[in-house]
Amino acid sequence: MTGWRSRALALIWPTLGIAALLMVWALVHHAYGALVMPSLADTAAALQRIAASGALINALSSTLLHAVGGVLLGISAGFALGLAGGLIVPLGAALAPIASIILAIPPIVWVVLSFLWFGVGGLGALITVAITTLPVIFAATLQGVRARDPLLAEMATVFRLPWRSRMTRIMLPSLATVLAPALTTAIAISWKVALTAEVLGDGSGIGGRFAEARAHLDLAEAMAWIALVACLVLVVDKISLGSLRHWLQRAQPASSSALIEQPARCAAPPAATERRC
Amino acid sequence: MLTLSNIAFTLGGRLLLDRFDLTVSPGEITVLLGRSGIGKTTVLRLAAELLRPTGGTIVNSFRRTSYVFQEPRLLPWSSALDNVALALDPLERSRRKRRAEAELWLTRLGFEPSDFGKYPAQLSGGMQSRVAIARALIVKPELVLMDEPFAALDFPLRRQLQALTRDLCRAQNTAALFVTHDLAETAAIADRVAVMGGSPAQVLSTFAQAPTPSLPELWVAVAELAQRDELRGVFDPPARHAISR
Repeated sequence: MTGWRSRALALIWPTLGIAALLMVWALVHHAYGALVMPSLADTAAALQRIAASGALINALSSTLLHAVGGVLLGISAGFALGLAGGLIVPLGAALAPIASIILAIPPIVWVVLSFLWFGVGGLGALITVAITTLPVIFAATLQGVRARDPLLAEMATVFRLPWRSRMTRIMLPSLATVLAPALTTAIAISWKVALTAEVLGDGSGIGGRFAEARAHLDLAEAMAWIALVACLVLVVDKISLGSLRHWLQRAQPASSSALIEQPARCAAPPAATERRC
Repeated sequence: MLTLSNIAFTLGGRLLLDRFDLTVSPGEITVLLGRSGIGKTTVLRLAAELLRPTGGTIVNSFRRTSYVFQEPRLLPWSSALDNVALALDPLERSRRKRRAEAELWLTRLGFEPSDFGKYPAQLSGGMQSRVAIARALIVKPELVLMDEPFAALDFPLRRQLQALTRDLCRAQNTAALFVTHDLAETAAIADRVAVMGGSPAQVLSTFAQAPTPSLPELWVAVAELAQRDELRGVFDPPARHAISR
């Protein structure tokens, strides 16, 4: 019962935030008319039309492939390179400026280059997402590996922990704090880049359908696609990072004010004579 | 048996240890006593193969060696139970068995089941030290290296943990090399005392020490220890002329 209540309470503020956003939307529509902002009802109707037409599944699967596929590729490569760079110092030093250069180049440049290299089809969008998210994860992983606690590494050596335990019990959890915000950024970037590539590309995916709606000056449909993307971003973020954030919240050292009051029996061990083995 | 013979160790061009000899016998708690900064932790790190000596030989014939560090070195993202069970990772494949054994050890060290799931940040300093001791002893080591593990704790808690550690080592016939600069700790826990001094440091003398279960006996033992010839000059303040100079 308490769990349900706390979960319901946790949903109240995000729901209020979204409600406020919808209210602003309605106010803008009321103030400036349907040419600037379509009404919520028109947008909902457009959304219903999209869902009924069957275009939704095609567009959704295309965009998911570009964004999620690309970001997975970027995360895997960025993490592997960051880990290797953190453990092998010269490699890290060599890769760091390359990552900075890639990070500094605007995604639109990669979109154009990908179209030239791989064509305007789906592969270009996927590769663009991978290239733009890779350095974000690489930099975070590199920083995390370099900043890892040497005392824990020494403890692992003394207890002769196997490689797998060192990785899963020490390295990955210690990286989680720096990786969580980087993953959030990478996932957010992936949607932006995938949609940009689709808008400029062959018309596939949600971006392509959005561009088509814009070309027909169908603002309600364009906003319906945008609303769909927003929902998708929230769902994917919750699914992919929700449990990581929950774990981080539980496992982070509590602040002194949050420290649990120790009962008297816990503050001291039992008398040695009572605990002979 | 752990034998350090004629050890020399240089760090940053400075000779820290020279002609350093020390033996730790099975089942015996050997206290390495010396002032702060003399290189006691270095000796433990050499014994744990975390450092390589510049000269001399180290022979460790104990089947399994464990370590209790000066600070608990617990994984902040793992519960007390998982921190203890971690040490069994290389020895026991079954996670269920590892956790069951960890529960046993935490109970042995005075934890309630409600404490098992707590994270290090939710534990007091004494509890963290006990988790570290449980982690070191769960592997049933023949030798445990202890680096002033109770230095940050208050006297009553320190005394209880000293007694507990001593009893647990006795019960498992575990030898210990215990590093401290504290005479009361030495009197409370030692079977044998190795006095470290000089520059570069070496073992100046070793002598047997009787255990002291009660507090009045402890103070008598400390007073006797302080009077020993072997400690003369080791903890004395520097001469006045040395300060003025």
